[in-house]
Amino acid sequence: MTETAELPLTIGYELQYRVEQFYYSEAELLDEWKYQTWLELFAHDLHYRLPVRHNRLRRQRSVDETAPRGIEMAHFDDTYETMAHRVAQRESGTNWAEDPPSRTRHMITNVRIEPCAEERGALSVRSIFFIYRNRLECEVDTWAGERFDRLRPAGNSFLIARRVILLDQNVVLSKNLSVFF
Amino acid sequence: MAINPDELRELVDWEHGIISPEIFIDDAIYREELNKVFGRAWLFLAHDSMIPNPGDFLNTYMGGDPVIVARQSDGGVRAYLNACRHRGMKVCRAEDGNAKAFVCTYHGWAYNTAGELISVPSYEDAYHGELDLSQWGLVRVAQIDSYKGLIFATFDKTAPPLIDYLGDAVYYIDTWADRTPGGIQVLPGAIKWTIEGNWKIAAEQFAGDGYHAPVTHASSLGAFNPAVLKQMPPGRQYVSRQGHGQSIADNADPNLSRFADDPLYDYKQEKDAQARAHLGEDRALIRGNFTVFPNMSGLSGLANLRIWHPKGPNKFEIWSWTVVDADAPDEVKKEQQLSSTLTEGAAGMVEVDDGENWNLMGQLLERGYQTRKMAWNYQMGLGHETDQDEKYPGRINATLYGETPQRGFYRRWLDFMTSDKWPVVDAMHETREES
Repeated sequence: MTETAELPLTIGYELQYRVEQFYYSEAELLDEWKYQTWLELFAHDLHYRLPVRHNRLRRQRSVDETAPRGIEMAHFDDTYETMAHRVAQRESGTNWAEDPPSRTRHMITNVRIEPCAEERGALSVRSIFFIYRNRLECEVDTWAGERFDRLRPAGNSFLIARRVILLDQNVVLSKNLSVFF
Repeated sequence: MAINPDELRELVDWEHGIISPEIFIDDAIYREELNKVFGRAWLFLAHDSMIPNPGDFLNTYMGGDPVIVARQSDGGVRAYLNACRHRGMKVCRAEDGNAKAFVCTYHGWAYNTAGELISVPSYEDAYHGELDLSQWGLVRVAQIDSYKGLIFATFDKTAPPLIDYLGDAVYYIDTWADRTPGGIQVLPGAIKWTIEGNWKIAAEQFAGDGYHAPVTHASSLGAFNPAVLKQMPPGRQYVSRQGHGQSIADNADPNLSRFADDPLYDYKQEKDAQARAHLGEDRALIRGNFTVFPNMSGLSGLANLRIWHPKGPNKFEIWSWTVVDADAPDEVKKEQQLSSTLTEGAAGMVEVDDGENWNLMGQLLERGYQTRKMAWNYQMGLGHETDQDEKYPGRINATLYGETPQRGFYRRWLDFMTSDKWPVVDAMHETREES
């Protein structure tokens, strides 16, 4: 990787490479249970949201499922501060849902980058995830979906300032969502 | 296993606090439960605020059966099976919305939102105009009624009126459903997730299991309020002869928040003064987990309402909602939504640890033989309860931890499972035989 301090805003091979490497590093932190280090990838004005997916007829469903919905329950609707609570819980030694820790693999693909319309200099990045969780003796859960991120250039890397997660499940099929996306 | 009432009574020795886990895993018992419990009890469907306008509908379940709940043009509510009378296909596959009609996607039989069959394709050509549409409407529930905006229904026309079914539970339901004159609203967005365990495990926990909180939830409730880890907080438990239960935490602090700097604090202080005027001092202080028999539960004071939908002996879904004061400012509703999102639900900091327990208990029963034969202990507080509490109706155990509600829940479950007629019981003051 080059030593440039400023990120080229031209979306090309190098930027694509750097964003993808950033996501691979993020996935590694999660899969190695380094949650505190993972939290440092987020900006302090973070909004991290995983809305509920609806089963509605086409004529009555919202076109943009990532759009803010006002006052509606969600699976995650977090700030940096509340994500810090979640991370502290995970590392507490008494968060039985993940203690003993699950074995997870976060697979990130289909990375598409555009300039961010809402924040000058930032990037809007969509990526597909597939998460495998194997727990205790024989429990397996899988989650597929898409992440809509706002990445803010920071030094030679990025900070995640917004993340909206579309999980491809209506009724969540697992006993919990004690994983990070 | 054949369902023999005497065998069931042996499995559920609630009087001595000994219960066999066969009732959580046996397939024949589960099938009988769908008939004798879910086929007869009043089941919670929805709150008025979830379907406010004519044509608004939502899909839910009554036991194993899909049911459409729809607001009528006259303001009433109807509920009927979401199953076409022709071949049993679902006539509506959206979870909620607004509709003028439900058209089956198999052959096109169409029903209005009252559940009436209004047209079938090729009526003249193929049915020769002879099909009596009026006889082939969607199968309606036998009775539907509401209490304080909470809509319930039963498939049994012999079931007693809803108000009798709820019995003395209304004293406790009012503490969250009719807390202030403005009433409540259920926020949009149901959190739905899946547990590979038996629905009764969750229902009994919400009926009165405060005992698990400091251990199961050490990393969340314990972190928010370390005092709960040290000793049993003051409080009591209620169960009614109808099987409804509630934990009553003695906590005069209206905050009852998971965080010290709760932005809702001022609002809750103000609303609590209203609640004390509306409900009376003692009643306004009642907060805690509750179950309305069989499968409606919630956390009063923490804005949660839910249904445990059975999906087989060893599987259930949790459908969980958040309740706010209807007349609260939007910023207060938003704060409650954020707070509840953080703690409750599939990803909720508190609830992630319940899933771990319930799934593993189910796994042991699913695979084991000896574990199914091992009776479980429900003896906490046995013999220390009273039916003549000075303040509170129902059977009261004067400690927050105990298994009085659980024993009462299974006693009622046994009534339903062993009775051929609808099991009517004296609502209020039945004296316990051995006392």
